[in-house]
Amino acid sequence: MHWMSVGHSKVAFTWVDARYFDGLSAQRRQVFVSLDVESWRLTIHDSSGAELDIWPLETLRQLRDDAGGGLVLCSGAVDPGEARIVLSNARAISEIKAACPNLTKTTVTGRTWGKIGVWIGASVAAVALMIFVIVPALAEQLAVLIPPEREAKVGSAVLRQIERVFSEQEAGDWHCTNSEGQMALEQMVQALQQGQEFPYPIQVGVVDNEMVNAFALPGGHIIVMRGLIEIAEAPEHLAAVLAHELGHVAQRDPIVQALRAAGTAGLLSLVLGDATGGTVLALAGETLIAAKNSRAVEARADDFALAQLAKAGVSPEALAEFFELLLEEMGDPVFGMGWISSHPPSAERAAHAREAVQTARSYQKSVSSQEWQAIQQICAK
Amino acid sequence: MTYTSTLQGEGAASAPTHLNGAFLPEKSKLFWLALWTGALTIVTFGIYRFWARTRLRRYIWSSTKPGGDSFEYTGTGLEKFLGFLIALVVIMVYSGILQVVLDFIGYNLWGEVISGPNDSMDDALIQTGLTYGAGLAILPLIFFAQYRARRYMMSRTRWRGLRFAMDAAALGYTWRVMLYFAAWSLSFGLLTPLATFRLEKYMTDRMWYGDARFEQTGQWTALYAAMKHQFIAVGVLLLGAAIIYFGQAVALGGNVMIAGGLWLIFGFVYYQVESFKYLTAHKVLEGKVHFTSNASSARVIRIFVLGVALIAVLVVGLIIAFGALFGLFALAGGGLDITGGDPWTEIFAGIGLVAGLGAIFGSLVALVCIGAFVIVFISAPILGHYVDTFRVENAEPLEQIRQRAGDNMVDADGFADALDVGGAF
Ligand SMILES: [Zn+2]
Repeated sequence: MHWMSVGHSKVAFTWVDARYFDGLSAQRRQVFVSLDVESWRLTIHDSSGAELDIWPLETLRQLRDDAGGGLVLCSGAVDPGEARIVLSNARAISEIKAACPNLTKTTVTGRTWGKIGVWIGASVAAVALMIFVIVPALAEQLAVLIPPEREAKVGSAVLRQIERVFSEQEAGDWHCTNSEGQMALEQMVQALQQGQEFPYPIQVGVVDNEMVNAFALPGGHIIVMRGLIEIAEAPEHLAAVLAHELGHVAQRDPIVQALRAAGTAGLLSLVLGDATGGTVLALAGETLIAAKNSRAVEARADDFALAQLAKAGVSPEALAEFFELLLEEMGDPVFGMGWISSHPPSAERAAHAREAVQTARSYQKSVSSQEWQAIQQICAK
Repeated sequence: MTYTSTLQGEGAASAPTHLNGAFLPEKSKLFWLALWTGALTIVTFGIYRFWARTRLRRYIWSSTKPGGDSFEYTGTGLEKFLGFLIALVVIMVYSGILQVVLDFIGYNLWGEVISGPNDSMDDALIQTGLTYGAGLAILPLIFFAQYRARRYMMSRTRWRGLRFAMDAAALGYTWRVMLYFAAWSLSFGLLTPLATFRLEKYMTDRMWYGDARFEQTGQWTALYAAMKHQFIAVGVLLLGAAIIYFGQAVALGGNVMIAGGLWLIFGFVYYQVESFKYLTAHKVLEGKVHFTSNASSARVIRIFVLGVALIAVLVVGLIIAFGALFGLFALAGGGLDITGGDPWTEIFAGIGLVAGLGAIFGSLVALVCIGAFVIVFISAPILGHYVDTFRVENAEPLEQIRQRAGDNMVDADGFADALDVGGAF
């Protein structure tokens, strides 16, 4: 083994022994390698001194993440060639690392990038098609096939799960049970059902929670949270929200949405992988898609609400007012989630509600002020 | 003997007739590699996972050195990523439709079963039934994926410069597994040896090293010896039940049953190890080269138990660090996966988003750490034990084996990645 200096700093070596696999047979051979910095080559001699191979330095690649402690080399700019050299001489290894510029470089051909582009495009298209077209359509068609009485039972089961969560969250009664308030509330809902056939009896209840929120569950359950009653400035505001949620019930939106969400969540978790960063993205994605899909659904529920408010003799303006109320309060972060997040109030929605108001007609209160007081006290103990 | 070297060098003077396996990773290097690639996976929202897996494999492969020459893993992250995309498009359509349909069936059944006001047992029952239903429908795809993944890994593995390979026969494998799976279920597990042996034979007979073919010889009935501890465990369990039922001694019977349960777990590990030993001893390469494994089930269990204990201690620290945030997250997000529907989002939307995201991030960091611990203290040591106790007998004919052409699998092991059935490495 010889070491020699080339120029001031460039050092090369000759006759360093190494293991060589020619990539043609399973033989292991002891060979000698020489690094020639002048001619930019690594020369491989067999034990008899005959030249086996010459590798240009710029084509040398090392195997990465190698646990061997030595250096495994191959030669090939795009494809790693078949032959391998295994070096264990520390000094020779550092010389090679200093002399070869491309040891850790990987070259990806344009064709590969093209393939990747095509398949990324195809998979994005497939995901989009499934999430935005096939799954929603399938959910809507299948939801129709679920008999109402079964949907009602699904609703009760969901309700029980909500109950479980709330009773864990805050000890005590989660459900507001003041009977006068409940009666007044049911009367309000009854009035809003005029001329409509629902597949199941509507059951309305108030949850003792400060959030400003209301929602419909499968099977005709409508849940209102105490916070929403507190922020309403008049009984008609509450009536408007209830009418809107009744719209969801009439269109069977909750069960459609549950079916759709199951499909979407399954798809997204497939794309994004298991318990890694994908989880966050899947949650965010699901929320975004739910929000996007729901615009048309919300508009239909609004229209339903406007019609039913008018039938009950309540001015559709109440819905507009409630939206405006929410618009004012939007800045408040505590307040910023709840009903607002699923029902973004906007000037257009308010204006659309106001269009439904017939100026010639006189409207009445939805419930008496006594009854309104009872509703406001529904959570009092 | 065709060693050309006459000079100093390992194994040159007298070529061994057998080669010992050797697994020589540096634990700290492996840990930092797992941790670093795990962190990159989080930061890239999971996209880096293909490269992470590839780098770990490269490291593990190169730590494995039968006869002093290390394995080489030639797969690339890019190739895996592309394979994943291809598999995704296929699976997407299948499973998206499946999910909605199953959910539909679920709601119908749900309504059927639930009658009382508070029978959450039935909810759980239906949920379990649905999970199994989904499992059955996706099962063929999983077996298909497993064969293709094994074939991909073989085709990307080299030793002494020569490629391994496996024939393209995933479909044949899939229907055979389904068949043996049915036989296995109908026989209450009594036909386990038949399934183990025949499936291993199906795969082994299609495996190559260079131009040399592997063959699985032996008898499936011989594997019953490996099942003996499972039989004993079942006997102990029955004895415990009998003591409770006939002897009315609940405490004694309960203890006997606990012992039986632990014995059963040991029995499963024992079967894994012993069947591996038998199958290894009856594999032949090119009709001449034989193999032996001296793996020990006691050793495998010890590695596992010690690893779990060690990880538990390490994880306690992580739990203390993230515990508070985690609790908040459980409240904020716990309901989302039940229906994922509008009502849930509305209910939980009010709870602090920032705290929730913080908790998610914290738990992801904890997961990455635990993943790295599992690799370093459990998966790698167990693999190491198998490798260290592995021997190639009569290694001389290896020298005659020639290279084979590369196998271009565009879908790589993408199906396994998409279905998450990749295994430890
Ligand atoms: Zn709405």
